[in-house]
Amino acid sequence: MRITIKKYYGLIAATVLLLVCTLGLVASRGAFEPSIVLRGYAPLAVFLIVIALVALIAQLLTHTLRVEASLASNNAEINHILASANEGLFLINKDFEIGRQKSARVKEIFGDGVDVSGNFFHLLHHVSPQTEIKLAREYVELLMAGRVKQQLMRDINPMQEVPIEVTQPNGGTVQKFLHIDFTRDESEHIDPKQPRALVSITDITREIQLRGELEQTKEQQQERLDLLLSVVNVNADELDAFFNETKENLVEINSVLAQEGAEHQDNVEKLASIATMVHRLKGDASALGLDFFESAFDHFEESVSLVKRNMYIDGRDMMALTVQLKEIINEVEMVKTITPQLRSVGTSQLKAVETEISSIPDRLLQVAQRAAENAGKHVDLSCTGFEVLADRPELARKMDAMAIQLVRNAVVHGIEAPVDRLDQNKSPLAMIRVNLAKEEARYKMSVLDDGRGLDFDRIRAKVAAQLGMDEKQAEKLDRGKLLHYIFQPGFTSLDEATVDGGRGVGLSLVRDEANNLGGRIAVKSSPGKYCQFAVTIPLAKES
Amino acid sequence: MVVDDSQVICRQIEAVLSKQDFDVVSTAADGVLALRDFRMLKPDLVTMDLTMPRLDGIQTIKQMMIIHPGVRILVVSAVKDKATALRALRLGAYGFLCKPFTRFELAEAVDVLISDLGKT
Amino acid sequence: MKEEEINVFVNGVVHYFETMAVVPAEVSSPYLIDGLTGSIMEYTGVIGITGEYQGNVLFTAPVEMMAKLLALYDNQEASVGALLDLVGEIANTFSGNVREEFGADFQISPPLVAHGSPKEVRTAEGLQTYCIPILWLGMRANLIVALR
Repeated sequence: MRITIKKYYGLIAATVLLLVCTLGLVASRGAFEPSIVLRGYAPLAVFLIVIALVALIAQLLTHTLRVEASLASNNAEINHILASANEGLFLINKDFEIGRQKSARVKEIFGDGVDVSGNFFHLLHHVSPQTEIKLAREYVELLMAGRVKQQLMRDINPMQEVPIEVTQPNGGTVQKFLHIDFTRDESEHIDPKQPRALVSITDITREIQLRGELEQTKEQQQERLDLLLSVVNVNADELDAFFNETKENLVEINSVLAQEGAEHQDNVEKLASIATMVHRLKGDASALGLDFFESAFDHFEESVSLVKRNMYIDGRDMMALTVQLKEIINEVEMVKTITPQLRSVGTSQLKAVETEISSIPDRLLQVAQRAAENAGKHVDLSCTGFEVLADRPELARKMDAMAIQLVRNAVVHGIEAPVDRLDQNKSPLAMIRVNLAKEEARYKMSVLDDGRGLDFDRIRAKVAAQLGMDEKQAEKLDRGKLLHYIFQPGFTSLDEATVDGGRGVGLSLVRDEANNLGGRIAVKSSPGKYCQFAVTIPLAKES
Repeated sequence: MVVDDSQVICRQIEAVLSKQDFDVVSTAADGVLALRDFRMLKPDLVTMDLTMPRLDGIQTIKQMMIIHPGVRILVVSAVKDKATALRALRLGAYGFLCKPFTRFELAEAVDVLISDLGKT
Repeated sequence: MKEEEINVFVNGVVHYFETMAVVPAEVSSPYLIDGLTGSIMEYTGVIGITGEYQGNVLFTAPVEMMAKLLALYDNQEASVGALLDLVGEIANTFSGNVREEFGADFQISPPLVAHGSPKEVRTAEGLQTYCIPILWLGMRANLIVALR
């Protein structure tokens, strides 16, 4: 609990009053020549002291009560969390001693026979003898020390898949897998010399099983398909460069194998330089998103480390590498041969999408000009950024449709008649800007016009009329409410429907489409200056 | 400063860091080259691969911590060997990012890495 | 073809040296070759294989090594004929070992011998053939596995 002045101003005031009065009293009874005035005030001072004391006590009392109440409610909350949490939760201190409070799930995870207390790593070793305790402890120590950023340690948590044997009530045992996560307690009142960490344990047995099943199926069926698809997505030059570099490196690996020397030490050196090359190849494949080659090199890398483990490495131990090298060379050759064909299929599709996207600005301009002509207005439209959707043809189509609605809306509702614009010292030629941009986690499309902006009075009148409100009720509608209404189906501020607007479906359509895509629509406006609709759509999860 | 023996990876990291307003003062393909530049440039931030020819990441980190202990090192590596990764952190690196990574993950990791510093 | 299967041939050769020669042979790390050029030495014994895998397995050694090996067989004169005979014998011996391991499916022809490059042997294009150096007394022979 942090002390704030505000909370305690009563207390402080009472104390100050008390001090002043006491001083007054002392002064009036002091050794120096007392003045009549002061002496006359003495009873009053005593009275005030009493009042101040009462106030002080009252303040202290209420404060204590409040603290107790809040502690009680905190405890209730904590108990509730511990009883209902899905994870096994408890704290450990710097000596890895397990705290007294544990979530209900802890017992369930470890089974009845295990006493979850004392040193965490003793417990871990007890339930999972195969886990490398030293490594796990180093991880937790590093985390507790607080220097390394804990968000940037998660990947190397050695306890992400801890196998444990759980004894069941009938005496049999089952294997479970646990994910054990640690979070350093960074609350302010924690003494840095006495750090502690929250341990959260999730039972991931089911996930592990599922993953095993999935991986099997995937490996068997998807691998080749993935390979083919990933190849199409890589830029042709980059892919050629990758194939050439890979081939060179593979030949280089082969010449390392061909080097003289059959002794253990010779092979150790050969393995070291092969490992470096394979590692780099793997990195390159991964950077280009070529999952198939990445996993092939990963496999190779693993074989290298397997061979390294031999006490004495013989040429025959190295055979596994040569065999794998040959397989990879053949894969590279195979993919290299079929890539041009794949690409021709892929690019013809891409071309179609590109043409479609490149025609969006023209089409929007046509829409705008036709609507402007019908309404006797003049408009110029610029449209930029749709090419960021080249890889998302479906979304490009939807964004295009939304843009059309918003452009129509801008022409019909936003832009004033040329005469009115001249009156306001604006160019009779109105501007509409459509822009689409890919931001970190979303696409953002904005449609901006330099027209009259949203006319809230007019919208209010329309809403009132459509809902049968009287003037007083209508006045209570604030801007937020009114903005809400303009996106409702059936709302329009025009008196007459035309082809281009006035039916009250445009904005509601856009909002619905945005919602369907998991996004939202927002509007900004300044009277007489501009109106901007912005549609934001989250990037779909990258596969 | 970006240390990685793959040119592809170096370029990728460089692109992400430049977007975050970092000046990438040097890219080095192995520990020896990295240390040469590191002495002269004293960079604030280093991304470090672990498996490299000549001088590996662990040895390089060790040397860097002696030369300029204030440096923030982010280990960017595909090593599956958690013991090695932990060793890098114990030697003084501030964080670990596992390859392969997306641009977004790298940007986020760098943000976390410098979260308690003023950006330079 | 798996590494264990190729190693069956290698073990055959190693076993031969272990049994016949006083000093055992060492196996260097296998690598891939494109065609036989550069890997063939003076004396070569070839066995042909049909069945699940098809192709040839060759043992090829320089004249010095063949002469030393021949010397182990008491009082042999190092004539071309004798050396060819021996290289055929070696191929024969380890092909016997192989037959034992692979079983009946594996059809192995009797060995051919060649002084210089064997004309009968064709290998696939590219780095498709395994070459396994066998080191003995500072000399080197090659075991070449060209199977599909």
